[in-house]
Amino acid sequence: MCEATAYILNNAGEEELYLSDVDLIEPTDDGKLRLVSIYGEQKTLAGRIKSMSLVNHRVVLAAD
Amino acid sequence: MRICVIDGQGGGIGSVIIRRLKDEFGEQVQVLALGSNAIATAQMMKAGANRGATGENAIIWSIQDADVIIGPISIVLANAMMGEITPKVAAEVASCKAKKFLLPLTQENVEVASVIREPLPHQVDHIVGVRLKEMISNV
Repeated sequence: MCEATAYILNNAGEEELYLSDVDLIEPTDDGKLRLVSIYGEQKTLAGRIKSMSLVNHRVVLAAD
Repeated sequence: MRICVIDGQGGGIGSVIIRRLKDEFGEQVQVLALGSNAIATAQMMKAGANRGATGENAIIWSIQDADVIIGPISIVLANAMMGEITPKVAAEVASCKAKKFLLPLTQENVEVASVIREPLPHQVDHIVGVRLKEMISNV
């Protein structure tokens, strides 16, 4: 639908879909990022948020 | 009025619905959280449901007395939510007498065409703040 979509930068610097319909992004105790979708799917990434466009519902992540 | 909110997996969608229902109507409505697994039910109970139950039989039994059923469209799709929605649950929900408000959100290979793409809270606002309000004021 139109929750946020998270993309991750690949080695070529291109954006790849990482997780759709993202509801929550939060830091974990071990310094990673936990993303949870509205369907309960979750992914944990050792990386950082590179950019967020709230109007366009886009989050771009970069892995460490 | 008895409202059954049905969800599975992590119960996130059901929780949003229940929170909004309770904000709008408080104890004017009785909200039953029906999860296809215990985690989903627990999440929906945390959101403020009056009662909760889990599993195929609980869902089938509880919806018989419902005035309204709210949930993602997956609840009428056999084997949706990684199989949590059994064919029997899907059939019983689809064919029960309660008014059903289904959100066009699904991870299945099903797309509801011609739906305005709105975030989940906006869709829930429309169900609770407009459609359900009309129903309750006409009772």
